[in-house]
Amino acid sequence: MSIFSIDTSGLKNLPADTEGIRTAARAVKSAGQTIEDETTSAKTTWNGIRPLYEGPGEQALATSMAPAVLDAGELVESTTSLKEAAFTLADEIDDLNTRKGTFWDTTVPDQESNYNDNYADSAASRRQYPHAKATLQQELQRDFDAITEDWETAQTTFNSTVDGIARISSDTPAHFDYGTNSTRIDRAARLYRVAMGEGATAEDVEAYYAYLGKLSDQEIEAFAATHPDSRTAPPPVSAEPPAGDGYPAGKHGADWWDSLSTEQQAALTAMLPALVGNTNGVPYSDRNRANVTTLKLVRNDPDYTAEQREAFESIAKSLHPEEDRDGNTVPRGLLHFIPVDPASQRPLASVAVGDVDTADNVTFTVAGMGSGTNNMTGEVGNAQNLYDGLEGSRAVVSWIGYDSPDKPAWDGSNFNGSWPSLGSAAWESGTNSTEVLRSDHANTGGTQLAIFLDGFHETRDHTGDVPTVNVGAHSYGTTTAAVGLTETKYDVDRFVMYGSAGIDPSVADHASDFNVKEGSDGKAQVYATLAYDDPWAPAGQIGSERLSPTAEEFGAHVFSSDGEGNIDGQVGNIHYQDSSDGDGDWGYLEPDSQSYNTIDQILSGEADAVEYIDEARQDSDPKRVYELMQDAIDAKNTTIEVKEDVVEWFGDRKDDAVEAKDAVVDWTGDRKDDVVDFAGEAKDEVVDRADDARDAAGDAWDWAKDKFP
Amino acid sequence: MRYRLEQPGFNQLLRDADDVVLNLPEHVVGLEDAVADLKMALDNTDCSGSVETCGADVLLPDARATVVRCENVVGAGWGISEAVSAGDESMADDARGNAK
Repeated sequence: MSIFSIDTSGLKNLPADTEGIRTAARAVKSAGQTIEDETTSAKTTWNGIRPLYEGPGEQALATSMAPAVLDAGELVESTTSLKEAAFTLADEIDDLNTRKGTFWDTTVPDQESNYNDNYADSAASRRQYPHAKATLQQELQRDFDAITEDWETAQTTFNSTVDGIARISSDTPAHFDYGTNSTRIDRAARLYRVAMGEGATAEDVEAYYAYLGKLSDQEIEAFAATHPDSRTAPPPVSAEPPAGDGYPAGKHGADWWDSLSTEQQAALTAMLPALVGNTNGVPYSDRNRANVTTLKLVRNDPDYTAEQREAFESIAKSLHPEEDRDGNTVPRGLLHFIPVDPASQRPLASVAVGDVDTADNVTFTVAGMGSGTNNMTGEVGNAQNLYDGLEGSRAVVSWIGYDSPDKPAWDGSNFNGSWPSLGSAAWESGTNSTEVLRSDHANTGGTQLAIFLDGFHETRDHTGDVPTVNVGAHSYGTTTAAVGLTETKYDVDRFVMYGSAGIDPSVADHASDFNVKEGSDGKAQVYATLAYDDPWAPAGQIGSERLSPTAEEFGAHVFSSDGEGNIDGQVGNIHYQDSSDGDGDWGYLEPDSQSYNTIDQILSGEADAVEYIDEARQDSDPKRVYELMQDAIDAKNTTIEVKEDVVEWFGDRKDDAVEAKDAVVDWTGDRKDDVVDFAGEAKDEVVDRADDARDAAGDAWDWAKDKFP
Repeated sequence: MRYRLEQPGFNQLLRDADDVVLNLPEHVVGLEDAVADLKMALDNTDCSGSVETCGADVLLPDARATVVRCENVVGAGWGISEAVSAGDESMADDARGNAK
């Protein structure tokens, strides 16, 4: 406690420490700098627009980010000014605090000593200098007031500097449903539109999925409610090669699904069921719940066509569980469901008999020409037949994931001695066509199958237990599955073909070409059968010039449907998988047929017990009608070859004629050159003679002048 | 003059721009926080008012205007992409005109 009383109120608001000021000031400048850096980064990105865009105002659009960068640069100037003003103020504060400390630590004690030593040590001194203390106190107060005045000056200077920082930009209205002018729901909607747009890439689809993962369950509900299309139309699964590398592949979908909260998963399943139901990687039990929700939505929507609604009803009916041979109710699941395939306008779906999330042995069946979700009950009935024949933990999936070709009217059974030409009424009638003879449906469908199979592998791999995977294919389904099994990333365990419409030789010409694991015999576990009385399969093979997988050279394990070998069963006599009319015909998947019993044995892992044949009887001993078809194909090919020979011969003759013409032109040119040369020489001779004559005339003239001067 | 977009590359560029531009508002919030911290550090002095005014009337409006300018450019890009994809060139013209 000093003996002097100093008024210190002028410095009561002087901060004791300036570190907080300096830290905050640095942060202000840094924030401004960050905005400039990021704006510059956006401009750098934007500069890449030039080669990507041609159109009105392309130059102006390419440079439209520049004003923002200029403004950001000015913003940095402003924040820097504020920071420097704050640092100057902080320096002043530090100085003032030093002076204040010196005042109290040195100046005041010195003055107290001065007073005590010189003016207060005796009564005489006190009488002699009665105002000494007051005088000394005034001196101290003046010193302190000087510090106070400098503090006020520092604050005034700071305020003046900061008040001088002015706006450098003007407010600009936001023109787009974007950024600060957009809701998160609007952004989700835009990403959805982009993902659904023509030319959408895997990155477009991934961006949509990623953003959905950022929405709350309430936002998901709001988005779906305001954009109803998104509920029933999922973005396409990208088909970039290899097929399963698009987005979302199973591993992408599994990671995405795991990253969501339970509330988000529930909201997506309920509100965006088509997305959840068709995302590889999502557990199939969740996909089933979502797809059933989608099915309910579309069944109640009158905007779909009668054909589409018929398919919806068949799909719904196919989901009713049935009992197996032991009386156990087997669950069924809707593994994928696309209400309207953009390419064909037909619904696509896959229905599982059994639990594919847990089954140890899973078989996917691929149906052929004329199949579709309009007959989902029949397709799933075939799957149920296969399921019933197997034992243990298993599931069978009926996959209708592509637009199969329509069925031609002519099947060879009404052969009357001449093979009808392609495109004739015999092949095409009504909605029937020769689509089955082309491979475009198989190419498109095969890629989708590969994505589905790889998606299944990665979904199960995510839970750590990839099961045995089989593919069973019928008719044109073998053509499709053949494409798919050359595009998969992961090998399946077994591939069984029955009643094949042929394998495109550009896809595979040997069983070892498929992504199928080898068996104990060191050969790919590829199996095939063909009933001698199947009227369609050979017609499809021959008409399309595709390969028969039951021919010996194809290298598959061929098993009989005609009673040969060691597996009992009824001889097959139709092309179909089952004979629904009950008239005594036996289809390939008809329980008790030889084909069915053998397939059952193979899918059960007992393929080694089957006695195989070299090739199907149809391949070694074709029926007369198919011989004639083959002859006609050969004749057609011969005609084409002859035509090509003729074209080539005429081409050669044309070349000969051109060469002859060129020779004539060359000869004529040479003769012309000869004439020109001769004329030149003649002209030179004439000129020489003329010169001689002129010289002679000169000589004569000179002689005459001499003679007659 | 007709529009021609190399759509996959154009959309990828827009996504890359999105990654930057859609984060700009967060940086504006960072500036807002820094200004508030500086005001608080000067809270007992006669300087806090000028800092608050500078932030509210100058720095933050400038920063927000910068962000909106960037958003308008990228927003126009998306508008053009969607419009061209939909074959609506008049909509693309409108979007391009608002890229400022």
